[in-house]
Amino acid sequence: MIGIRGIGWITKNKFGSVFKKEITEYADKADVYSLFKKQSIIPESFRHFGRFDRVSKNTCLAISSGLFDADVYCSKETKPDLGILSTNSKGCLQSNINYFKDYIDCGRRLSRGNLFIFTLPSTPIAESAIIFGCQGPIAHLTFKDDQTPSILEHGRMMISQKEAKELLIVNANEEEAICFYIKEHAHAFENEYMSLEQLQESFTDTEELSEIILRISEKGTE
Amino acid sequence: MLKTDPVIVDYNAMTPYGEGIDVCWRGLMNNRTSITDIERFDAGHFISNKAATIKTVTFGNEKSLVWQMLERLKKNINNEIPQDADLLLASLNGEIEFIERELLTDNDCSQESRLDLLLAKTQDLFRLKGTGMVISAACASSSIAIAKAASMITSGQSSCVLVLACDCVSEFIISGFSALMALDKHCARPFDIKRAGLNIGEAAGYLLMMSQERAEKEGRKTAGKVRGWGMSCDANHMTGPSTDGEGLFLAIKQALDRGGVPSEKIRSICAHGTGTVYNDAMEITAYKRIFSERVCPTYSIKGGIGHTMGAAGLMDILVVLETIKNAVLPPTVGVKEIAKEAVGWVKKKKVCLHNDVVLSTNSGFGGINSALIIETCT
Repeated sequence: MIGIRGIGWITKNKFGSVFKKEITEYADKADVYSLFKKQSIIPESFRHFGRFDRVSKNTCLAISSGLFDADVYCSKETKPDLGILSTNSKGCLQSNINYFKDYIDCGRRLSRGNLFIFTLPSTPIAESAIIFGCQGPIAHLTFKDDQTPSILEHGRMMISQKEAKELLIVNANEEEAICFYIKEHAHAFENEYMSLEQLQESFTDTEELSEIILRISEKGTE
Repeated sequence: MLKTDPVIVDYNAMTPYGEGIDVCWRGLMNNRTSITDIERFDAGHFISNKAATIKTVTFGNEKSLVWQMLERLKKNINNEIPQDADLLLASLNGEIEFIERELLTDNDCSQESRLDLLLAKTQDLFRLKGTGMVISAACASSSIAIAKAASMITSGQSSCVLVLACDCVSEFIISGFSALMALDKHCARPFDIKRAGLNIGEAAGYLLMMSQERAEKEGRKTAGKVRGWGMSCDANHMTGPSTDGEGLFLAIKQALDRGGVPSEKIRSICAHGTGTVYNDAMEITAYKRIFSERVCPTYSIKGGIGHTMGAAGLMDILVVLETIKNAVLPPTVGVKEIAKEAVGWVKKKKVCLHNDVVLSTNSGFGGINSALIIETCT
């Protein structure tokens, strides 16, 4: 069976880990990174958070919380056989605009490579793969609708087909993100919140990311 | 052959050489490049003003370049595509001109560049009623899409998948690669001792895949079979590959293991071969780890059609299918003096050989790697 090993999430003013039933409130997004460091949620070796675009920051923080929720420590040095799939509806639209606007502002003569790299939808998970040393498959998948249930189904398939041993599955946008850490297991985990199948059944049509995060984070505090 | 084996039943492309994979094949076999000076926009101030563009699409048209390419590709479909086909669309940036247009002309259209919208439009264009998904994995996007299609067919989730790939040359892209100092001011020279970078290219192509059972039922001719696939990440650097080739080595090993193919069976390699110093060296390092003492004939098509980004993996596979059909490998266009590490592997001239099992690899930003093994259908 494939189980959910950890769930991490972040919104405009809170972040949390579902199995650990931990929720932290914050006032300013600029403080989040130091809160993660303080709570040892993010690897010590990670130093480039400041240059990330907003989707990359939320992706990285949700993954950190998801791994923390599962009591799994990953870093550039550990190089786990762990893949990452991501989804969202708008891809890297805002980063595309930011990059090209900056290029125009520079007279269409100079552009910035450090902005250009965020114009790929797969960059947030690639940056996270570097931070957490993930050597498994990496891909950003876009669907017409039902992004989260659709990507979870593809994650399930990849593990069933032995294309990945375990996966971090992320839905992240500019404001919020959720990460599911899924893995095949011979039996249910002791602290397992639900099997992947159960989670998949819980989604309703047209459920927005913010509604998914709210529902799942509340369930984790029961 | 198993009933669920993923076979390729149709393919075609439009490339800077012209419309049709046969035109592209002839260009490569004639050792001719399609890379020219960029005329679409002022590129004189970039590190390179060279790219491989399709001359029959119009820049500045109301329709985006990618959309024009897809419309023309549809006209070049050889056989009917079943309406129930699932669609996997691979693209780096899709209709990126809508971003340029909004910011340069105050036309409020950036939302139109969204990949979910391109997916819906493409399903309508090809009249497809199956599921759909866009795969973005940097320059490994379309090879990962082919792997995904093979997986969907093998698992029984689908019996027919259309893999489409497209990306275009734009000011957005050229300015970015220029900022990263990744472009060669001359035409790209993959595996050359003096290689200095890549040139961007544009292309649109498709690959129709079916289960062996369905292909037989529909009386489809098979061009090849996806025997194995593997995917990995270097987890090392955003824009540079791991110098030890570890990530690509892992992807190739996975592909060989999945297909149950010993490395001795591989007859040739279609390399990613971008023409950048680090990519090409990394690839040869990974190949040497896999093949040990054995030298396997290797080529790259990027000196011919440029680096077609999200479409690169699919274009490689279309050329692989031509090499299988014609029992000959194309020369690596652009190479003059082969780099020391690639001597024996890469040839300046075409190579005739019985090419029944082929490895194709791609690597992209973020250290994303993919490997595909294509086998002739017996």
